[in-house]
Amino acid sequence: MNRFGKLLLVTMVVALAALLVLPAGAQDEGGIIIDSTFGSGPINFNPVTSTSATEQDVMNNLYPNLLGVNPVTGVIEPNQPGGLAESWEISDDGTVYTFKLRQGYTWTDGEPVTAYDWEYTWDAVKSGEVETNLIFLIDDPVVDMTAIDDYTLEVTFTSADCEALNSAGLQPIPKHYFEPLGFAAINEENFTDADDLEVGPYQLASQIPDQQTALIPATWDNPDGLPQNDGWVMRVFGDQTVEFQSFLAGETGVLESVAPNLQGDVISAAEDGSLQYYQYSPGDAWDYMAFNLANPQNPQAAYDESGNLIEQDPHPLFGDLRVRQAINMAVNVDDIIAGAVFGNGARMQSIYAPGSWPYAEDVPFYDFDPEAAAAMLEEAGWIDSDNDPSTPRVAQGAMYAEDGTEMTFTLFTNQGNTRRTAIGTIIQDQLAQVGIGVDFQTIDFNVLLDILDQQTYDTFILGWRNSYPFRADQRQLWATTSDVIAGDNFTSYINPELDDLWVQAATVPGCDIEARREIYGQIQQIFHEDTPYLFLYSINGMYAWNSKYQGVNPYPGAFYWNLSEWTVTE
Amino acid sequence: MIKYTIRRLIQAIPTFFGITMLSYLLMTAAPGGPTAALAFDPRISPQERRAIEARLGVSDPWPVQYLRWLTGDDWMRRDTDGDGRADTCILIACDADGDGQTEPAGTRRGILRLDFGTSFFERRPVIEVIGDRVNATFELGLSALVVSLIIGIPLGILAGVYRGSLFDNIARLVSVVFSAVPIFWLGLILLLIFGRWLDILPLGGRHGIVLTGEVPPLYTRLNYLILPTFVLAANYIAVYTRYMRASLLDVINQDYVRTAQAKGLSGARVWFVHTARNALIPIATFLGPAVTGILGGAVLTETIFSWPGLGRTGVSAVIQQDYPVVMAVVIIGAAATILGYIVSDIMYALIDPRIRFD
Repeated sequence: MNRFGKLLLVTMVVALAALLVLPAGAQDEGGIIIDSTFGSGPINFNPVTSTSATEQDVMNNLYPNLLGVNPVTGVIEPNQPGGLAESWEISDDGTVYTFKLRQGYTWTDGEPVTAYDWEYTWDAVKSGEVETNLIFLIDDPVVDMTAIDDYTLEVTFTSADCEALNSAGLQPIPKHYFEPLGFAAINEENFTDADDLEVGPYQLASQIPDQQTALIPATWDNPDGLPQNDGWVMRVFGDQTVEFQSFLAGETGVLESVAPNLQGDVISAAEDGSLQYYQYSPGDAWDYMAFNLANPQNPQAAYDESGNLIEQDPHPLFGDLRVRQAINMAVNVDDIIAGAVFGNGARMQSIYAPGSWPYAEDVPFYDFDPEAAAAMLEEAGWIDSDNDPSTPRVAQGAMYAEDGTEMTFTLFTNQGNTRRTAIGTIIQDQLAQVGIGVDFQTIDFNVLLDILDQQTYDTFILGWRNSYPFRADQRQLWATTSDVIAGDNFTSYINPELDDLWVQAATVPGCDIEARREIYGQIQQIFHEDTPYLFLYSINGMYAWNSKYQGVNPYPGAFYWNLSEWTVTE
Repeated sequence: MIKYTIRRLIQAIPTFFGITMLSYLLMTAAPGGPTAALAFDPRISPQERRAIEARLGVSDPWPVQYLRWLTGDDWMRRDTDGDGRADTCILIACDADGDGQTEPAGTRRGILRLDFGTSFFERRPVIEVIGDRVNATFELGLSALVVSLIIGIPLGILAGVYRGSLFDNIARLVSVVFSAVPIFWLGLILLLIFGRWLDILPLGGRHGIVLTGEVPPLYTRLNYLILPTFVLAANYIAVYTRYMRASLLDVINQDYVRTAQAKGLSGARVWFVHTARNALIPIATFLGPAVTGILGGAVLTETIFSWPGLGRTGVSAVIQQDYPVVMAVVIIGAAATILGYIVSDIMYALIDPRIRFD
């Protein structure tokens, strides 16, 4: 090799050596809590226009809510962390709540936080000039929010509703700042500058899109005291695997939500004491397979333009209850829990997960019984004409299908979700054992949403995430009025008895919890029998954090409630 | 040359608009729409979702949307009586959301007047959204381009010079591997090795934690740049190595090389002055596609390495169907591609005196 070649080689070796000795990892973080998220990071901290749960985690440390949740019980109560309502009274008809607010909280500029801030926030939502998802509150369930004085707020609801408080939990924007600018100015303000108005206990230090959000303790007084740590930083990763590896490597210190396929890794890694975790069941998310009870060739809303109930054109297969029940018996959900969430799930027999307060223990599960499923399909007119279970059955006297129709259907889920892909694969395999052909397809999420909105599917696999605090009322998913094109009663499940029970449960006099539980028990029994979904499981939740973080005291659904008290030991 | 460049730029205008029109058509033809992600909340009624779509203008026919994107809506929805509300409307409804109240007068000027619009999701001007990310992408792209040239060209030359040697075989093997290995896989493996197991490089990001919001100077965060640069450059190292080697071996048989050797010039002078210099000419044509390819590669690299650049933003925008941001990224990509090819052609003519600007 000549002189030039040698020089080149030496240069490359020196360069490689230099790379290896460069300082790695993050800079010295001191007492800073380093959290993380993946995907689209937080970009908007405006309480009215923000739309993501990650942004909500950040905003909960910048602005108070009207109402706080008891982290132990998960119930809205007076004087709870993050909530300014110290007490409230309810009118005799149950529609007007008068809240007394705690005093002493100020915005960054020293102006006090008052009931007028909430009134203004509500006026902004109602104005129609602000692009906000809070529009769902307008008129129903919330009629108005009025400040009686600086520290008294009156909220009027459409009707007496035991879960009305869940709809009143707004975070305020500063009236004194926005009033001179007008409501439209709220659209332009993302509160991502360090000098924006906040309440605390933290203030925004910096926001670098797709990289990090950094909070530091507020520099003004807060009646709840200032944080004991030096700050809280949320790093944004592009990929979940890299986020997880960064946590294991100690680059980040907190994982708010550990995916079920990674929970085992956390438990193993925690054996040496470097990590701690909190696993809880039921988690706040659940998966299901939905049946379209109506004919996808003829999708229609529940009501016509005059408000009359329309007789739905039944689905050739799933219009028959026996077919849905047979599928319940032909699918081994325990196998799905093992295969899709690695055992980190609690089986559901209806709409509520075991352990949630309305859960009815006496509602049975469908036993895995392929023989009984096959017999039920025979009874429903789906015959195994060639005595070969591996080929699809054919209709012979089926309720809604022409004779000779093959028993096959399409099952959709969203592309890129390995958990749901596993569910679909297992269901496809197990239903094939009883002569049901499943065309399982993973498709783009937006395409899937479009299909659901139009109700032009046979079945699909998706999941729902419960709100926090937990709402037992699921009318938005199941009420007959939600069976409209682009509504959320995708399955066209129409049951007038259920419509009445939802209302009864929400308006029990005095909101007696036992009376409500009993009604929700009846609802679950009906769901179990009618089975518009194949209910699968709720995913176990898990939080994990580095052992050098002290003071972490989580409860189900409440991880960050005492973030101010977390400290970092070296 | 100036005349040639101007002519090429003028020729690029219809190409550019063709790209934007096709992109807009494809984007709006995709199922779903921004409200699917923006308002995917069961508490929001279908009517409310439709109202949001109407206010965003995404329920209009795509030619109207495209025209508004190009020319703005300040002429489509005007306020002539000064009450702040539109009263004269062309092509679009004054009361888009059907709430009985006309919408505010249009304020958008369209990209022809350098207004890229407002991001549906970030709720701020697209120019700010792009401005926050373009530096990161430029930094990564430039590093990758420089590294690929610095490593790829010498490797190709040495492989050519020592043709058939162990070095040549290794270089050819490496270039095949680098061409074949998918970026996302290589990125994850390198992160695991250097970030997790050896713990000598950070696991992604552009810099460590900062409280000020200021991006630290480049020299303090070179360790964050190493892996994404290498991964993004890997494919181009392979390409340059192969091209350079092939080009060198092609030139080696030319008469002037034999003449130089016959004159008794040293081997190094023949190889690196006479041969390599002429072998570089075809490489110049590759610069345009390389710029485009590196922008495309940044989409995956930025996602894996949590690099806060345009590629990652573009992916999010496509998933969320944030039309104004998608179109801005398309414009940048199209402009970079067109300019890259023009620069390539110009360089080719500059390097090779036999080629004339016509």
